[in-house]
Amino acid sequence: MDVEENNNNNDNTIVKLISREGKAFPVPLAVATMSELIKSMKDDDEEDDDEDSKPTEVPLPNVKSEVLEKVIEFCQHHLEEPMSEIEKPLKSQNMADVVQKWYADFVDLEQVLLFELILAANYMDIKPLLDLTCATVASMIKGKTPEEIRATFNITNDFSPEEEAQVREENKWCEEA
Amino acid sequence: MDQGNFTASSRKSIEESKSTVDDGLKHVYTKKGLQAILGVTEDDRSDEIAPDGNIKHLSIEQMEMAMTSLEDEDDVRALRGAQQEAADELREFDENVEFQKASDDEDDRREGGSGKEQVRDDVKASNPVDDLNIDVRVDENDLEKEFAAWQSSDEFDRGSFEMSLSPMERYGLRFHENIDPFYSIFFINEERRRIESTDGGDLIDIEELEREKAMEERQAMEDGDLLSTNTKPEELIRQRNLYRREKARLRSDKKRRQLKGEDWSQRVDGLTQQLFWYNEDTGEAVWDTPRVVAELQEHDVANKEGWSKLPMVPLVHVMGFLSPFPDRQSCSIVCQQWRMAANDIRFVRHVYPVEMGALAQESNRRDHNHFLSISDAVDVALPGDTIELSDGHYYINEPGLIVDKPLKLVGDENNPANVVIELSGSIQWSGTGGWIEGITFRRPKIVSGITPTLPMLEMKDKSKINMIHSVFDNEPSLGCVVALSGTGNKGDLNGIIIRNGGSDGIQMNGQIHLKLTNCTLRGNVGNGMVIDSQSSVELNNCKISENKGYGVRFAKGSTGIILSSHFAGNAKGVLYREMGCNISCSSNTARVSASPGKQIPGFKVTYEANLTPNVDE
Repeated sequence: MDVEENNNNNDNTIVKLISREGKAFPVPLAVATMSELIKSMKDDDEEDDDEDSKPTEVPLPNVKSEVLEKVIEFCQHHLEEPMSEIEKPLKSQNMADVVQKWYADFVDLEQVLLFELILAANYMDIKPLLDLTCATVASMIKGKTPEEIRATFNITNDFSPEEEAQVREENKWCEEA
Repeated sequence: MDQGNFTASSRKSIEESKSTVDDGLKHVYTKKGLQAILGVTEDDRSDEIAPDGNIKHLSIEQMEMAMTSLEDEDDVRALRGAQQEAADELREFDENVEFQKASDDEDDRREGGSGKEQVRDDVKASNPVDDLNIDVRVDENDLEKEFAAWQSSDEFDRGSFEMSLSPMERYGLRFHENIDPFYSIFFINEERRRIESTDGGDLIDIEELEREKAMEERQAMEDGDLLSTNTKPEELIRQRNLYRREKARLRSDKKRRQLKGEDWSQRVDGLTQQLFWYNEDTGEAVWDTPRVVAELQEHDVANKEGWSKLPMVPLVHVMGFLSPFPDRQSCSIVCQQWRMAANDIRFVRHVYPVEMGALAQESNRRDHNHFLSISDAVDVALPGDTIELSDGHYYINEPGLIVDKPLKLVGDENNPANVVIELSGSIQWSGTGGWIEGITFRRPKIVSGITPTLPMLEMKDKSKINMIHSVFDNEPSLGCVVALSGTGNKGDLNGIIIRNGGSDGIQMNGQIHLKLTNCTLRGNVGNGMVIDSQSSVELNNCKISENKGYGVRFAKGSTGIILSSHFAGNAKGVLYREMGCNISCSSNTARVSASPGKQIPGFKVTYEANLTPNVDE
């Protein structure tokens, strides 16, 4: 397949995404290039793409198979039904109120997987996935006190007492009278 | 070629006449040119046979006239000529082109216009420029008829024309027609062949070339671009596959290194002994940690530490989905990393001052965080937002500005004189919180019309405000400067100057608590400040001077603490206390011009007959 064909028939081109465990996920180019990381790499390639009868391999040593599967699921669905823009600031704690049902269901995940999905979306630079996952975290924060937030995400308070007093003082100006 | 026989000057004149004659002939060949020449030459035709020189001179002049009159058409014709030349070249790519053409031309000339017309029409048909000149052509059709008529009656007399030239000029004309070096492809080809043959004579260092080639090959083999140099044809396919596999492997290795940041390594700079980053694949060298390495480090930390170390980019993204108050603020108390993300610079909204084209700028050149007016920004801002003002001037026009949510308005923290708001009307603050810092509020210079009577800042029910390092100058208004009305207002003022009020500096009216630290109340037409019943005030290290009324006036039932403050030159007196107010003072000073009637507890009073205005603020 030469460059010419490659450009004309993007849909038929298969890209192999390789997870951290070394598992290969063959996906259509259109799915893979939802990731700006892969897209930019592909663009670099195209200049000297003279052979490649076999699909391009993209090693993603930071992404677990389990996570990569979810990423691909998202990208595939996004091509069929693009995600609507999520309004800022969030108007509800319920994701189903701010985005289509499929996406709301998609991010109904274990916290650990959600966390890794955010890292993957960030690393692979997939904006809609980053939007969705970050909005989900925001929906979990919304309406909670700092203590409740720490409890929800298992975060230890790393402020010294003086620092915390200072932060609270900084915030005092707009606290309810 | 006898070019050598000409002297410099005669050659020049020949060339001149040659080119002129040539131009002339071209014109002669086109109907317009002929028309023009005809107009003048017909009478002079008899002169053409006259001895040369004169006639030549004359005809040059006439031709020049004709040329000027035809200048516009010349452009078109030049193009046409060029195209014809190109066409000719294609048609007769042959050494004989020029001779052939010359004889053709001669034939045309002899045959009269008809043949020539034919050729030209052919060219015309293929000439796109003519499409633009349809009008011209319509005119030309008429002229053409006229020309044909003239031609049939009287043919152009080449013979007599040539007779009019000197022998030398005739030679030039011939030479030009037959073997002009600038027109003859034959000549050019010959010339090229000659140059090429001399070039070929140069010595080529074959050994040098071989060496270079060997070097290149070695390099290519090292890079993996080349696997073998002396391949047998039957091995070629196998070799090609090998090469492909090898190259793909190298590329995916490179890609893997790029993705894992393994192409970067730290080295020590020989000169400064400092560490820097070097990329083995691209040859880049940078001081700062490369982005990919930094991101991967972030990811590693995040994987170890969990949510508290979510990398900044996604964490700021999360914060973007939260409203500044209360959620983003709650996040800022969670941990260090979250605090940084919650206070990210990109959440601040900006307003352009007049100096930066706020009045002229087009809206499509701004992003969602930049505004042309303070009221636009306030309208869009969310509770808890910060609005930053750059150095310069801003206008708030009648009826003023209503702020009904907690907002921060920040100008220049170090010098409020740099950020000036020209305020008409008043700012009505009813937000449950508020922050004003580093801003000068003043009244625009009023040329005509009504003097404002409203306070500059009016606090409504249950609002709260912090003000730091700002100036309120109410000159030349008739109203007070800051009015707090309604119940439950709170204010904390630090480093605020309130001056030139048309009445009192600060009026408190309701259950209000106000705390002033390092503030100045000066030159107000009424009292420095007035505290009504049920309100309380706390003054610390303040200066209250040159007010036309009292320094501070307490109404019945009010509460006050005055510490380490300085009063001077307040016309009616330092304090006015109604019965039943609860005031405690200590470590204050007061300078008065009238002899003090009695001592004021907590004040050290000095009497000065001619009290000079207090200039320091």
